[in-house]
Amino acid sequence: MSSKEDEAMADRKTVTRQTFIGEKGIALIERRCLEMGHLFHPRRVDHGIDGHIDLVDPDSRAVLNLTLLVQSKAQDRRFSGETDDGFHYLCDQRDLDHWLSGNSPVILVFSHPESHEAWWVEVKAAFPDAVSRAARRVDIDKHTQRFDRDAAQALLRLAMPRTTGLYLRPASITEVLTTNLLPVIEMPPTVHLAPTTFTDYRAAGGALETQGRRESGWILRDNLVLSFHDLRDSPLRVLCDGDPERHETREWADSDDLDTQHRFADLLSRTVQGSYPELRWHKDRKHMHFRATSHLGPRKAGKGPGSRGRTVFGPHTSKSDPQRVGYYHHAALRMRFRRLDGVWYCQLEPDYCFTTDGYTEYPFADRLLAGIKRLDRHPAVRGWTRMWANYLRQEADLFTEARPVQFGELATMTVERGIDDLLWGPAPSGATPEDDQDPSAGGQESLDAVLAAADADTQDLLSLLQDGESDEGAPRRRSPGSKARSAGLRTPRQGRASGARRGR
Amino acid sequence: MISSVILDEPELEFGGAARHIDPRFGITNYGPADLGVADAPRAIRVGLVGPADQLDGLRQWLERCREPIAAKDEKYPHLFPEFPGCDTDRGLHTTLVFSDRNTRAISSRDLRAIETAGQPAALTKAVSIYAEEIRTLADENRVDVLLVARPEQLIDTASRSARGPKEADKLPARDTLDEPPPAPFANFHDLLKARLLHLRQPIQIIRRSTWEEATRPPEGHSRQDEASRAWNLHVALYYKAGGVPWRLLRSPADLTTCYVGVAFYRSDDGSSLSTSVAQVFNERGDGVIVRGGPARISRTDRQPHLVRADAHALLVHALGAYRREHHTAPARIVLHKTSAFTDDEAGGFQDAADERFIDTLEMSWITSSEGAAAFRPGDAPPLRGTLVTLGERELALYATGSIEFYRTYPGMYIPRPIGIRPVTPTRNPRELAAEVLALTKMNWNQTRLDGRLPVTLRTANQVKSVLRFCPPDQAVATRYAHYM
Repeated sequence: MSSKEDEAMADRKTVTRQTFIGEKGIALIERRCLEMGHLFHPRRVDHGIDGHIDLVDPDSRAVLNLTLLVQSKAQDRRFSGETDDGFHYLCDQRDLDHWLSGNSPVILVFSHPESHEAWWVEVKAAFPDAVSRAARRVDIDKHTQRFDRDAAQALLRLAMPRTTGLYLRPASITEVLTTNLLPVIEMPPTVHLAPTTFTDYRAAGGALETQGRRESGWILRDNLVLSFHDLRDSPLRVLCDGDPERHETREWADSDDLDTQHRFADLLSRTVQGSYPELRWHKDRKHMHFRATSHLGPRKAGKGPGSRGRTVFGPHTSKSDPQRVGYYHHAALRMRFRRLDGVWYCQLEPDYCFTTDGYTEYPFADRLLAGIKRLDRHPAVRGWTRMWANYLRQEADLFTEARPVQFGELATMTVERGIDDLLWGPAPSGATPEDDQDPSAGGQESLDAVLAAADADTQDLLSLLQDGESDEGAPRRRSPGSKARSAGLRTPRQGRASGARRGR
Repeated sequence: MISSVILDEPELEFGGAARHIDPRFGITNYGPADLGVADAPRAIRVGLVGPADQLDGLRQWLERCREPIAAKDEKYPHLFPEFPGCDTDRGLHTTLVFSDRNTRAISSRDLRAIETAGQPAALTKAVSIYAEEIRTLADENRVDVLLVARPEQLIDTASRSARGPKEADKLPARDTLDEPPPAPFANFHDLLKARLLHLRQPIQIIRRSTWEEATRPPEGHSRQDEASRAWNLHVALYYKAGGVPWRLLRSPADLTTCYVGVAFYRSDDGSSLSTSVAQVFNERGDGVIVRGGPARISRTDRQPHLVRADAHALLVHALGAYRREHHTAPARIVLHKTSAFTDDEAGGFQDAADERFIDTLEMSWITSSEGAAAFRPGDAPPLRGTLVTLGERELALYATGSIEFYRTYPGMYIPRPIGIRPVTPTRNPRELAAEVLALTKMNWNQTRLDGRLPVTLRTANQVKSVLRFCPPDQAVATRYAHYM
């Protein structure tokens, strides 16, 4: 521009660059609010508050009569200390006093309108105490504090009154739920059966022993012996009392007769039990667990999708004498085969087994189990279930025969409602158990009392549950101004107990 | 295909037909469901029986509860809200009325006798002494609810002990709802209720630790915050006095429904026979208990089952009790049972419905030990209301779990789903499960919005533990309020 033109322009009214940026900042806030499903109203007269947000129920579109006040800070240059990850901002003392003294929550929205970027923070959360107020400084994390569609929930929560009892549906977040059902994708095509005179497993097992062979994967039912193995050329011959027959597995697997289904589930179960040499069947507990390692040292297993593997066997020091091993833990599994809509599944229920020497059951195993039940949390059970699914699906190695029953991946399903875990708290200590909840969880005593008698330590048991935790990092988003809370495992308050029927 | 949906939290109905999902907020904001109805208890005559030193303190605390009691803490405002106070213009819109003639102190001589007796004699002695006092009081004048202060030192014998797996092996594998208590288990509550069942007098037993902060709850019992305790006690008293704290939501288009829960309990003699018991409810939660015929443990599934004639008789009696109580016949029956349905049972129940010209009979086996589970990607367990359709006749429903309104999972152990197995393949699993979910809220022993079992079966445990101490020829068709 020539100086002549400059002079001519100076006679006319102008808009400062700053005004443009400010207006663009407001426009950006308005657009983002609409994307979230809320309404933004700019203020006609502004002294420290640029506008307010009218919150709307995302499901019913009902206007909730809840408002948030907004102050916009738009800049085209960098904020103080700005990097790709964040920046900070020094608030004016009078502004700060103004924001903190009102009856509505105030949020600050920082933006670079040119690049369409905006971040937010709630003033009360950013200045929780006198020290922070004196410093007047707010730090923004650019990754977790974006002012965009994903902030809709957090804004709602900010404005929700505490005592009117307003309730909304869970957030519409698409979540994939994983079941504990492992589908059978392959099984032997033929079932062999033959008449037998044996009626109980002990005697039949003894007869096999005399052959010098052990063989698994067979069942006795109604004077028949059944197996996926060919009865003619397997040690199981000794159990037969007549000619074996061959049947198509499908006949059994698809039968609608309940008794046949039970029988087939039993056959699947025993076949699977027999095809993992590292697992041992525990008759009393009705579960399978990992055998001890030869050196009695810890062992990991189950690495794979969603699990980094977990310690499936390992020693634990005694509480009274840290030089001594008090007990060993063995990861255990209860299985149940069931047919759902024509597909056979193995239902996984993780369990634990405790021994004194890798073999003999620990005398206080029941107490440890009761302790575990109290400490167990959703992520721990999920982790163990994944571990077992990975382990059971592993290809057989060179030293073991190919497994007769092969599994697919855990069945999953998608739901349209979910939880933003970062906005939730852990179970509060005042939660009382249901009267009809499992009484075997030892609710009659405090946890420490339960474990002290077992010469075990609470932290030690917790480590067992937390082992391999953070298997799959759920996306970590923080609500602005709050410290990321881990809503994970906590030791429940001691001395809580169950069994008290409420309302008496 | 295994699929899943998240059911909405069922709403309940409160005063002025207003709705809310949470009993406490519903009552605080709108009053009880029968607000303004002619027979709603506007004043509840409360009788008091117990040690003299407790009666004064208890009465004082109840007086204090006329005024609001502050919420427990900041963190979970919806889970631990304030108690609004109990008076004619707030909360349950009723008052508790005491009078000296309705108060009977247990003499110190009697208390000493209880204290000096050894176990388990102390328990039976205490029950006899209290029963005598209560009978006298009930003979003289009528009260709506009797508040009974327990003797402080009394210990219940052998609580339901933890069952080791070895013991479990000896028992038939069956639903936990039907597990017979392993040890001879007796407590003051059940014995006293059984002894006084014929009086038809609702009774509320209360511990000192419930109303006195300074008294620690007995070993093995936790204590909630004061507001929650006030809530639970007052709602229970209101219900026992004949009030309707909340009801299921019903659209005028819905058929009047009679909800029947069939459960079994074993007497202590260890025979293989169980006795069937039906709990009959309407949408207001008025319950009637009907004792039925014997059930045999079947050899195939190791669950108790009824023969056709007994199934038929049980439902006929249940419908008779419903008619007597509500002066009308239902248009629809929803029947929940704690064990699988044999053809005989389904046939017997169907016969009874046909005989009474009731067109709709929906039968489901509800099991509390469904083994299928679902896991979320995050830390919090699945939402309450997560429904997993495993097949056309197998559903798994999380009735406990994370709750949006509380912003947490309020339980102690990992939530496990209940199994719903309709007798006939369901075309609409969602509707079926939503009704079960709504029925989990009909529980007047607590005031939270969730419960693990529908009321049809939840009451079974309480009813069973009381009935075990009743002679077989006694107690048919009594209000559920006399058991709780």
